[in-house]
Amino acid sequence: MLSEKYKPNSLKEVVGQTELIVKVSDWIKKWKPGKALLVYGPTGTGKTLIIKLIAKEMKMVLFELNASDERSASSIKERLLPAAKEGSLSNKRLILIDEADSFGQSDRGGIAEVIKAIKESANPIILIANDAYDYKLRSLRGYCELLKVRRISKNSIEKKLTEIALKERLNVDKEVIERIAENADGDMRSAMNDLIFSSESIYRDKEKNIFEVLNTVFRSNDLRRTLQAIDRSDKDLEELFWWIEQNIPLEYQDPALIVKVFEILSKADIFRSNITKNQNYRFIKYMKDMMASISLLENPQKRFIMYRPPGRFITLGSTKVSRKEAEEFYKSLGLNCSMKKMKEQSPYLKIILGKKFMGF
Amino acid sequence: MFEIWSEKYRPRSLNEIINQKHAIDRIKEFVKEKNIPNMLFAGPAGCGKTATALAIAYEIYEENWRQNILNLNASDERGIDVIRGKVKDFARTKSMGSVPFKIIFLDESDALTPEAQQALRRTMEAFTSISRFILAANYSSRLIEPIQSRCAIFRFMSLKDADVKHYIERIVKGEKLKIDDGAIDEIVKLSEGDLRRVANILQASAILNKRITKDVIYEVSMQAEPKEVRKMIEYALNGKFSESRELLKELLLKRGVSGEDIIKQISSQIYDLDISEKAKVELIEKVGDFEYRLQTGNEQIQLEALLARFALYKNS
Repeated sequence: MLSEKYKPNSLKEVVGQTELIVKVSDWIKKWKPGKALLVYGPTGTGKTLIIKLIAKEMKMVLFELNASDERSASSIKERLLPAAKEGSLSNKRLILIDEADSFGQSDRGGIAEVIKAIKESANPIILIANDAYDYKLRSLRGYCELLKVRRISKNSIEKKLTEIALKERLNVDKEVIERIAENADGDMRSAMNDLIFSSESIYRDKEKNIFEVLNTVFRSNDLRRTLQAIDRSDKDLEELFWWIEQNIPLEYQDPALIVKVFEILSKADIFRSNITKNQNYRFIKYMKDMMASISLLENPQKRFIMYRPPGRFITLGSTKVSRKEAEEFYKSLGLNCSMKKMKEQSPYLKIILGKKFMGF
Repeated sequence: MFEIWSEKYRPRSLNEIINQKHAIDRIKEFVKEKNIPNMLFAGPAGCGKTATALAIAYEIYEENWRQNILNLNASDERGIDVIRGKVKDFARTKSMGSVPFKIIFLDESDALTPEAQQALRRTMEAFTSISRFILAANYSSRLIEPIQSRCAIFRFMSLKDADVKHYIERIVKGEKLKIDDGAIDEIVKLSEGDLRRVANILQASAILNKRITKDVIYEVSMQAEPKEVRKMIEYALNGKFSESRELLKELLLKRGVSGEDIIKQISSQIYDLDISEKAKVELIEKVGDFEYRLQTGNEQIQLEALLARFALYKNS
């Protein structure tokens, strides 16, 4: 992942968030017991990263609690309270409670314990959330100073992407970078990850790997080996899924085989949708197993094939503008129905409106 | 710009709603009291769900209706942001005029993400004194339990042929159209009970020809049928999967046609294909299968998996 590789290691490297860095540092320096800091704003703007880097540069010991930890009342009492009360001048401590707006059902009472910790803490506590006005945080807000994080400007994102493109020797147009920066809407992390989809040359660096993985998936006839190959791939499961999809017509000639592979992908896709829509992460296993089972289809292909990267993401971005215009047009009609219904009716609207028709 | 008939002939009062008597009678009672519960309208497209919601607003608020209803299409704006933003903002302000509550109408609410539905549930509770929600959906089962339990559920029936005819006659009269009986029957057949489609077919036909005959309707439906779908199927049948896939991507990604729409067109064209009757039946079954998977899965993958099947039925 590019976003991991180019994660800043020091505050100097952080782009476009000077104000946030200054404000958080100041708050820590001037901190008095009884109040916490609630930093909130959109994802991918560097909230967690910046606070961790500040702790590092101020030589503070970081105690972190995030959504992956159990955060029920009792576990917070056991872990957070002692950590908050301890600490000395020589060993300064910073308490970070990440994803404060996602205390789950099982974490009932957790927030009350956090408030207690804020009241009793001998160390500064910083909380991070996307939405400070989330219902769950209503009781907590009174004990916090609120600090809103701005989206990273399009310019800053563009600069960073250009820098990465140069370092990685990616062959990406300036226009494409601009578009990614625009679409990112202030989210640096997603912008960095989008960059990877928009450049074909990056695959060339690593293509040995993905080529090997695809070769194993398509031809190995060995389930265990294929599962291993998928695990070791530098592409994540989602990307690999689309690589397979892209190369099916290149790899298989027999229509009956194409049907079989797509049947597998179709079912894997149902799991995939469940993972992304409902955060049902348990289904990752099934999705992976299904994908690996492709290796067992008896594929007679022996020829060397130059596999191609998925082209899907690029097409989607490039038509966004005309799509937007069409949607504006539909809205201007003032019909009491959804965009989806209007598109369904568009063949008739085309006849009715003649030249005035500007939809799909 | 002149008016689109599907809006022009939208009912302005509950009395004008066609054939939903069981629901309308109960709703009228509420409207008379000027107090409505949160409601969920479930039923197929074009049978009067939106019309009923708007008619309720006309009748309760009269001239102030526009200020007191928020009309949102959940399939366009289905994220949690919309619920926390637009919906909540509207729900917590006071109503205009003498009626103490406002109406939030969420059309196609079954398109809301589960997360957004959770947020909606809270908003519904928080502002019960000053806001009422009317949700419309094709399938009530796609809404989470807590929302269903907070609503009075009204099931809207799909319209019968006679009802559709009745609506056609209303437009014919209003626009002073000349139309053949055969043409009316043809529209009824094409409409599948969807009055929005009826209005559009009629208006498009009236533009093509002064006198609406069966042939004019046929021409409209031919023009309305995207040729790409036919071509995409032909490619798939002839084993040219890559070409078929390119057309599919063009439709889905460039032109924004929905997967559901494409699969509907595929299914309507299967009977015209040059393949054996047995093959047609088998393919129809597959189409149904994939339309089902499409409800959860990715449009492109599921449609590709369907198209791949066609090559197996090539006529030798």
